[in-house]
Amino acid sequence: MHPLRPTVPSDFRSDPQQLTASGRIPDEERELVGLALEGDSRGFAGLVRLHQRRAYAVARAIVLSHEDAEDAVQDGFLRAYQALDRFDPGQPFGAWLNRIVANAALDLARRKKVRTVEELSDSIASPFRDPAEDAELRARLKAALAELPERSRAVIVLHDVEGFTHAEIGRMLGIPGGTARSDLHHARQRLKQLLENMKE
Amino acid sequence: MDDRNDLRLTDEGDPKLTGMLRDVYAAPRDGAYWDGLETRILSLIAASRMGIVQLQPNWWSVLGRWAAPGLAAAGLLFVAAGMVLSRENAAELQTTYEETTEPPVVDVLPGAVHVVTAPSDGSSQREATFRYVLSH
Repeated sequence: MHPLRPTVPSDFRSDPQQLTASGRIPDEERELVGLALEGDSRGFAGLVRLHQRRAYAVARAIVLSHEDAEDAVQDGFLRAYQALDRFDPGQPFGAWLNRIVANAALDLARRKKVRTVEELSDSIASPFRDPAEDAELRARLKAALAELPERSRAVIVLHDVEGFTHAEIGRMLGIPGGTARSDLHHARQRLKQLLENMKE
Repeated sequence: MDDRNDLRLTDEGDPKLTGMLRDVYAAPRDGAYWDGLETRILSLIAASRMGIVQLQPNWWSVLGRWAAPGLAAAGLLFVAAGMVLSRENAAELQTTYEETTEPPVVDVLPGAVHVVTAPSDGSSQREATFRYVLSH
């Protein structure tokens, strides 16, 4: 058994609805945060179990691949662990963690941006791609998403795929909720435009 | 009115595009995957506690580290600029005060103009000037 393996029940999974409800901290989370702050490793392990799916979704919305999302999640959790003494237990842990994970993902996306865009553009231009229409559409969408700035991509995916509100997205990305909303509008338009251009 | 409508941002995305996005961004559904990720995260944390893993500094932590010295430097610069401006203002005020309160200095130029008045004996101005030139 892993030394940090939590002793929380196996059905202790993240519930997206519960986690997105701002302002209310679930009792389990409060308990785990308390343990973690006391230095009990089971506390943080429980928090990992509780929040890893949501953290993955946040990271995946920003970076371009599943592998990068995993890296950003691991990096984010490690940074959160090391900054735990600065966490305010009166705040929802998930919101704090998601912001750290979003920063880790943005950092990773910026470092990898040029290479990834080149790779994806090449894959689109290649005549040997998957002939199936779905696969082609998927590839086009991935290429179009890669063309978008990280923030625009993140706002679209966090809102349209993950169901976060503008305010939650704003908190995660460090921008006002109104800006997140406006970004979403412009990012959708840009994405459609890119997809149209690729079709031609 | 049209312009105003254009500024209203709707929350409705394209359902087809949203469906495709959900497909592209679908998270792994296998429970074993999440157990594995959890183990990797906890192993990473354990390794960092033992000093085996070091976090790379990233842009926001670097900025965070520079935030305090940067603010202090900006504060000092602000104070210095304030002092310079204050001194300039004081000097300007002093000059204005002196200009207002001190009596004007009347310069007496060397070789000031001598006014030659016409003699009262009825001789002409021209003759008077001629006499003045001869006498110097």
